[in-house]
Amino acid sequence: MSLLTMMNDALFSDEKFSLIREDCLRLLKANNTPDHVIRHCETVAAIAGRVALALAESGAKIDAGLAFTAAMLHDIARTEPDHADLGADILKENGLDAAADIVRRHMSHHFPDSLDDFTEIDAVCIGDRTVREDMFVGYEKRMDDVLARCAGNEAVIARIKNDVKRSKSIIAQLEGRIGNRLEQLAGLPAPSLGSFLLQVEKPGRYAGGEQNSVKKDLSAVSLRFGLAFPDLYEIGMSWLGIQILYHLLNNIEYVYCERAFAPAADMEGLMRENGAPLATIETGSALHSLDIVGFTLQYELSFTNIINMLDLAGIPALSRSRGAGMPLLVAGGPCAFNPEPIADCFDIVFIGDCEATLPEFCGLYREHKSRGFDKAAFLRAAASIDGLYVPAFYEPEYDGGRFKSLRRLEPAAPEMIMKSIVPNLEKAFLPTSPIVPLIETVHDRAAVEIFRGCTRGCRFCQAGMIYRPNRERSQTCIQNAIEAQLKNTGHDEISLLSLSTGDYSGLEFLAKRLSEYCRRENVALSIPSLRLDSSSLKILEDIQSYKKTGLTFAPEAGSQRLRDVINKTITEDEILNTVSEAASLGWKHIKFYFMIGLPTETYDDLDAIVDIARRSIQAAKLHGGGKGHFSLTVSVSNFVPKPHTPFQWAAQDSPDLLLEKNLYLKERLAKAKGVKFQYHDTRSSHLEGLLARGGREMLPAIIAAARRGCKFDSWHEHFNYGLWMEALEESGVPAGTGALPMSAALPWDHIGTGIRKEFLMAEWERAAAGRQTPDCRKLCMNCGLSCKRPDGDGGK
Amino acid sequence: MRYLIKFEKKGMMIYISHLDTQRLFHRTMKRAELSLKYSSGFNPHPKLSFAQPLSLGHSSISEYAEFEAGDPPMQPGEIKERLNRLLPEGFKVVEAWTLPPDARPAAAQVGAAKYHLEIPFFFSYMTAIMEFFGNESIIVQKKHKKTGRVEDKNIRPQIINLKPVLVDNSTIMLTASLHCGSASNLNPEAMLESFYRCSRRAYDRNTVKIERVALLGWAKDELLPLEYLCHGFIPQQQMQHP
Repeated sequence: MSLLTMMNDALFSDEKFSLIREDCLRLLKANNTPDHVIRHCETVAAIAGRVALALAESGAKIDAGLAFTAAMLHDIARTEPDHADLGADILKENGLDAAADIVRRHMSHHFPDSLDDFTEIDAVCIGDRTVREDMFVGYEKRMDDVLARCAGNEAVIARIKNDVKRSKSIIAQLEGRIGNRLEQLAGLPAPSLGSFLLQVEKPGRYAGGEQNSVKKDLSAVSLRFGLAFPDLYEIGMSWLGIQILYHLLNNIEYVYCERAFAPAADMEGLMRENGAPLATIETGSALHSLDIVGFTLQYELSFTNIINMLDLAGIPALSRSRGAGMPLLVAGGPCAFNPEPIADCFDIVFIGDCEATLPEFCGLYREHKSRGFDKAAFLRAAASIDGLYVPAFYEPEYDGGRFKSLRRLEPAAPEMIMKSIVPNLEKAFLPTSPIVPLIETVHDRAAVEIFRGCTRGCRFCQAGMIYRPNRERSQTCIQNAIEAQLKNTGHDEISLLSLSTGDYSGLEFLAKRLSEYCRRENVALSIPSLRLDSSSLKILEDIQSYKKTGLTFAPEAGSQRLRDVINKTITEDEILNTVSEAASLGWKHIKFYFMIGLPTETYDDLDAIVDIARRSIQAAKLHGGGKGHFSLTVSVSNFVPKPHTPFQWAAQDSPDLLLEKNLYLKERLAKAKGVKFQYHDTRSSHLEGLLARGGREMLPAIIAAARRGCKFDSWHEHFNYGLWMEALEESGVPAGTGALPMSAALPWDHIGTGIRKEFLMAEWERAAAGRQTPDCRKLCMNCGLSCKRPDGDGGK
Repeated sequence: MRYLIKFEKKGMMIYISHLDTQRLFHRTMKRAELSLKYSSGFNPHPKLSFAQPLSLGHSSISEYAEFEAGDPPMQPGEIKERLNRLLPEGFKVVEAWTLPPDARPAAAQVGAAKYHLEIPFFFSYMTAIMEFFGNESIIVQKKHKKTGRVEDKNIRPQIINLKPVLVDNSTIMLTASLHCGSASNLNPEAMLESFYRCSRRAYDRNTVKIERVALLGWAKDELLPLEYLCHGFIPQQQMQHP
């Protein structure tokens, strides 16, 4: 049951009880009950009535009117000894038999063990045992009073203490069932995160008030949007997307977009202990009080955090369990291209670029809200917007546990949801005043996306497929954005972002222009995601002439054969030449990224990694002029097949096999001098694979894992594989990550990237044959996306 | 040209660390186009330094930072105004001065700080505090930074003055002048903890508010606000209304 509707109902109920209340007041007055006792009765009755009503709404059989009446009259004879019996007699005389029975027993009543046996008298006693005079003080404080009054009477004290455990248990059960705490039911405001800031690590995570964060007059906005990032503040604030979405939304006059992040364990503990719901950074508003809450799905291992955040927010995780008073839940991001594992949580999933669809979506929402929001009607209307997926309109069908197809339940919903595309990045929204976090985050820098998409066609790479087509921003646009951002933030680092920055046309010229500008402004320029070639080195040489930090390159596979399979078109000679050149230019540290577990991989391919590392060190020594120590880091990650890639059908190595391969490399690289080896947890890769290619059957397992305490799964120190495996087993989800037959329906087949499935199949076959596919700027392989735009200023 | 600014740190901003405060001022000065100077070398650093770090969770109406800026010279009032336009709510520059070229660094002159400590009311507070202050020595256990060994330390000499005032029927305010700076430093929280321990009361950080109200330096045998010392001279006006 939703908190909001309940609060409204609670108010309503007080109204509904108003007739009963007046009758009761007359009776109390007629019996000369003193005013302070009447005030006590009224507070107890408000709580008893609300408790009973909330329970009734959650499906329990309980008469809220009776609970309210009995509570109003329970102390009618309090000035007399044996006030319970006397009061009951008065009620009986007035024909209130059921209430009389409750009043007679209210002093000696014991709570039941189970909420199933909870009746009207329990509601009355909950009220009576949490209210001091006319103030709600909670069970513990109230019992302290009683114990103090009984001081010396050991027998009574023992009896009360014996009752405490059972009472606390029934209150906990009750609060869990109605999804609300007694404090809030009694009308006390929920504590805010702000009250715990002295007790937690890095309180700046929750404090807000950053430069360029947005403040709006709440009474002047009609749509309140919560942008939720399912990880810590410092991770979320390092993501460029949050800056784009936040300012894009806040640029809409009637929308107020606020942020929320996953609280760290210390804060979560305090929130749970004190019943503080998850709230926004900007105004401390509880998430459940907003109109829309949007989560970004950046990586699969953040899914349990979403469940946990919803739990902390008091928002039911499943879309179908959320009533009218609850916010609409939406999601977007790369993992939205297979949203199925978590689809049942969301009312709407945004597929593709949101810059275009969000404003339209907000407009639609406002229109529907203004004429009385009807969720079903709204979802039907939203489903007709391109790129908006309404999971509730589809239902998966299974054949012997295997996904068979997705059945459409709503004729208005499209069969295939095509991603939305911003055709011209030049005109797309670009934030010029990004929020500047007050505390240190992972990336404290201004950032501009210089192009979207990638033409390389690496077959394992999901980003390379889902962000097609290639769209560049002009140099002028980039330079203007950088100048504006630096002016508005004061950052001392600027980063050019893209999937493969070396492919930006005219990068050399842009880098030169920017590096001059940055040097003047005392700002560092960083250009990640460069390719391993001499033109990249020249650029880096230019921008880092005063300081040579490390170089990072990604050959991805050790052997030429395997690089052909994955379509990473770089030769060993090119790699070694670049290393030699880098060493001769004075670089002292290089990091290589490789992947293991790739399709068709053998131990020969692993040996090739060792070989290339050895030869790189030799080349660097030869060309480094013998000065200083040269070091090489080999970082190996585990291949995870991702939806919408040519490798989506591939088998994923088991965690044990991956570990064996990692240890194989570790042993051999340990002998290579000057080489440092890093590898990743193979068990979290296993889970990532399950979630990446899962269907809706995964959600019960995700929820079960979250209930068991799984969260921050992407954090090595928090990841608990054992709990996850228990959750999967309990939910009956197989933990295998074998190959998928190419003929099989895939859970994400209805999500359209614009790439034809035949193209992916052809690429998968070319991979198996070890055939490369050229960069699509050189030769179009007809993937399905039309790169030529009608206005002629083409994708490339 | 060298400048000194005095600023407040209040509200939500008490939850950001000293390091974050430094970064914030650096960014804000860049945005304010104060033509901040940088050190030369491979890794240029802004010529901006703070007189004395403030603990996380403490507020202050008396923080100081000095910086060096290029030409043209600016009016102190202009600096104050430009920074205040850009600083987030909670930070406020209350005054700015130009410094003589040979002024000693502000950090080197800090000798003491005055704090207002709001604590919950309790009976016989006056006696308890006077008794605490009247001790000849107050021993606290302190973990040595390098060796990690726990050592006894007498903090009494670091307490210059301690005075309680009843604010209302639930709050007592202690005004504490404590040693502060690189030579001898006593964190007000350490003193409070010690007081609560000595008077056998439970210390709960959440019930305590700490504010630094002055940062002082020794001029012969009297304590003066930092700006007086940094200036090298004492403006007449300010003498009359410190």
